[in-house]
Amino acid sequence: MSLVDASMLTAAIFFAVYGLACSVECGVALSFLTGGQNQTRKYFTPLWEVTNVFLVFGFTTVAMLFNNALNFLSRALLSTLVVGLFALLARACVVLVLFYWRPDRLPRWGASLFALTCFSIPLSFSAAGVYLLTAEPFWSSLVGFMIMLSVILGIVAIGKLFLDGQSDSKRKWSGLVLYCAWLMVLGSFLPLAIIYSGIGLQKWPIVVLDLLSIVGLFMASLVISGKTNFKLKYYASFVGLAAPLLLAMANRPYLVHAKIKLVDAFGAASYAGAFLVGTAIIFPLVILGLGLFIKLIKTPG
Amino acid sequence: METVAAGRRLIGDTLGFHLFFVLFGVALPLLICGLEAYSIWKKRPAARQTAHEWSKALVVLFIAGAISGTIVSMQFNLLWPIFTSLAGKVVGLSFALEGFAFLIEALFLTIYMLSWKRFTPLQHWLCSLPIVAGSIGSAFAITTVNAWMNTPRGFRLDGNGNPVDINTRQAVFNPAVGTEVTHSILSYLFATTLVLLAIYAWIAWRHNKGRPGPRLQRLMLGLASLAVIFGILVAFTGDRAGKFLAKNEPAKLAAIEGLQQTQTNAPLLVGGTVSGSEVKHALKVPGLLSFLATGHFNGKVTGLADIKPSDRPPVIVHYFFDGMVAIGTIGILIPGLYLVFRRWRPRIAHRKIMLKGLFVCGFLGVIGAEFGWLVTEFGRQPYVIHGVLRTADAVTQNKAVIGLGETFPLLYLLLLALSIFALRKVFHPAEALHEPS
Repeated sequence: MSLVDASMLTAAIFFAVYGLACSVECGVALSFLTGGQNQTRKYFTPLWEVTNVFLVFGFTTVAMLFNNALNFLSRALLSTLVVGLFALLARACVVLVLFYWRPDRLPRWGASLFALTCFSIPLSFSAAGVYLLTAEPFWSSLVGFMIMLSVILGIVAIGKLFLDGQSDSKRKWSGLVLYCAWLMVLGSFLPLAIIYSGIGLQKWPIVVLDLLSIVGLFMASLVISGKTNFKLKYYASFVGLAAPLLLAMANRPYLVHAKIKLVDAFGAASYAGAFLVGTAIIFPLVILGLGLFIKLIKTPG
Repeated sequence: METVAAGRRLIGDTLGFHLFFVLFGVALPLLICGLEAYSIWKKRPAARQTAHEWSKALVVLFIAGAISGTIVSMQFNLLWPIFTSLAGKVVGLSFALEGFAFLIEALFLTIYMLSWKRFTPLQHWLCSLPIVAGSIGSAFAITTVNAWMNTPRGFRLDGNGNPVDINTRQAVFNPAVGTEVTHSILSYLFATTLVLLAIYAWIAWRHNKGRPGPRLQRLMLGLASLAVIFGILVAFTGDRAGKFLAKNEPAKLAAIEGLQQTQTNAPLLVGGTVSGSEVKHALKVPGLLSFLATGHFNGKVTGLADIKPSDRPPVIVHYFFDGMVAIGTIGILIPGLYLVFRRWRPRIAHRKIMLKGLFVCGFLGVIGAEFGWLVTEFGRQPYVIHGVLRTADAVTQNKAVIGLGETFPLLYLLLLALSIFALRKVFHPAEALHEPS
């Protein structure tokens, strides 16, 4: 693997980890809307805002390592990403109000605003991701629609699986249905849309995505039939992390499909190696710390 | 030009807002870590309780800072792509280091906050060390980028304006790093200490009618001593920064003092009003500028006449510089007076007027830090990278930026108001009125 590919994958990993953290937060927001706040209240803390560091890091990686493309990306994506920036600020405001002002009861408007801002952030960044894959806004192509649909379903499914678990029968089913719908879109409709639109993405990552979805659906069928007690949330997280990476791999050799190649955008040959080694050293520590953070949140103090 | 003005306004607002949280984000972890170490070493539960209170405030400030930091990072990339592209090639490693440090700080802060009652005091204190390393490390890394913008080194531009012969080490450790990093980090410590002192002065004034209890007195004594020490260090590094400017950024120094002609025995202008490129009605202290800039009263200081008109910074920086110096002086004098009175005239030390003075110093500390950065940024204009890239050439060509100038500041104000509201909910400095049970 070349330095350029490794740089692209590193950025994708950071965005994927951020997406996963966002999914859990979106799950909390949804549970507030659907009246399940008693079970998920302990996950609601302003400390979640620190997961924004993954977003910063993903952005910094793209901006620093693929700096030759920045001017183009700024012109193309400013309006799309500004929605995410507004949502970031608005979510922080809503979290501060809900957490410190109304710790005992959540007003409906607050829960709705929290959900709206929570969803707007990953959707804004996914819309930017669609632009990189198709060189078009997401509403201009079937592939764009399918990716956005899979992002929405993926966020909701992962969020629900994480927060509802598989113990409560009513909630278990809604999480499972969303999980299956997500994998159907990711494994079937999205590849079909890519073939139909003929945008010329690499095939093997799409095949891997397809296989991952089939395996995920098979596992779901085993869970539904009661043959295994495997926790689907872990597999869902794995697919959630793998999907952006695979789509980025499918877009190779381009950063912006058919417009800017990765090698042309890459402008950090002098220090990219050091950066990637640093990331490789620090990333396991970060994941370990994140695990400890989640454990501490779950454990009563 | 519309996009340039909008871009400048937007990033200016964002950075100004971010700085408010940054100075606490950098300084508070160090102060909390020190206080917790003191509580373990001297077995003082009161100090540990105070550290806990401060850490609750740190969380709220850190969250708002993390959000504004995310916005800063994205705005740099989206609004100033030409600048970020060039800087990314040369000092991109500093941006990355800042990200690493921020990641460590954020992660350990969450663990630190969730483990007050779960870890032993020593284990808990050990958790604070990576937070301190992260906060100081990220401040260091990002200030090296600003220092590089002032004294760009470690590359040359080819015929197409692309940087070649890049030497990252030379770029990161450029000549301005030493003075700028020490001056800025010390000023954050100075400002934060003044703010904490102001809060406790307010508590003493409000709750004790000028007779604070022993715990509150100990806290005020410690914070006033730290404020004086940090203030003197800031003044010392500021003096070094002035000498550095005279040698490496003469245009900035000339604009700060509104000095028209290159001259020896150059006067220092105190106060006055800026009219065009001149400072009028100011108090002139003969030779002092030469002395501060070169170490000799007859030293030669470059004037604006020797700078190309298209390269001259706006003389409005004179206001910011004077404001910064005045605030720094007041910030040393009032806590210093408090310490003197407390030692020899304790009754005067806790009079209303003294406590009010200390309270005002808290606001001034933050304004002083903001003024300091305004001097740095306005003083480098019309360049964003000194002598290399003009601000007007660095902005995005996306016209969408024009419509954003109004909306972001409104959200910043809302976030600031909510942060203060959240601080009032979680941070209870009045606990310092009582000894812990």
